[in-house]
Amino acid sequence: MSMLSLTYSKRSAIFFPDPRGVSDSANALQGQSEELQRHFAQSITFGEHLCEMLENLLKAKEEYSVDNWDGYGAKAIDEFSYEKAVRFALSLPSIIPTPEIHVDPDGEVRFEWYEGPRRVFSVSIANNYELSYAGLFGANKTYGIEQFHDDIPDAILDNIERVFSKGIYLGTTQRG
Amino acid sequence: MPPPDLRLSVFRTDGLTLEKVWEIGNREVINFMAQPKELYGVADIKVSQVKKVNLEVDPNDNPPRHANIIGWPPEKPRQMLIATELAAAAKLVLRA
Repeated sequence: MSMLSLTYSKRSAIFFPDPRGVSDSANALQGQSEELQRHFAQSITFGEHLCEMLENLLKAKEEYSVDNWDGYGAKAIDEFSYEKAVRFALSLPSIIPTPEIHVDPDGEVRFEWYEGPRRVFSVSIANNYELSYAGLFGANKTYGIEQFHDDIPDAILDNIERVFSKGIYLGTTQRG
Repeated sequence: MPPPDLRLSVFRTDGLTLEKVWEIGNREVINFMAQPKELYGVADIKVSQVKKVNLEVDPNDNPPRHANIIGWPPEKPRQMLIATELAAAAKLVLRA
């Protein structure tokens, strides 16, 4: 029996480090790098599902822009969480399937990868550098907090991979 | 996911027709949204499933049949895990 092992870079093809500078030049450079990432996202080869994610983020920003969107006192989408979520989306390796995007009652943006009721993983982006995550994989469970600065932590990417343990094929899931 | 006050609002629907469930949903939930939306369905879950994840149902009947799911932990990752488990145990009933 032979087995093909598919490996992929855990870093986005369009990775740029999180800016640490505070000068005008650093801010300008950051603006340019994000613009470049967005242009790259529009390329047919690499950017189709990234574009979809960014569009869904924009829709969420509009839909959850006011407090009490659920009738139970939910907070409007947090601006900083939204900005970090865009950065998170741009940092995802292109091979990762497109997640659903939600906004939680605390205003944080949440990404969810769902293959079934007990094969699901979600990551919530806080308005600091924290990523809260939880997942169900059959009888197994996981939850925790990771820091998000330059890279998406391996713990997050590994758990996304667990959802699609039957295989990830270029931004979509293997069916059947 | 629970709201900021950690009291997740639910309605006890035992013995109600689906028509009545939609009526309660529209009157008591949709009407209170800042930007009312279309009601497409409800998540149906048994009290035993709520207790299984160490939460409690606190019936206050205000409005009638209303209750809160309480006992949520303060930490967000644990809330997320419990919400995921509840969703896995729930039955989605879509409006015809």
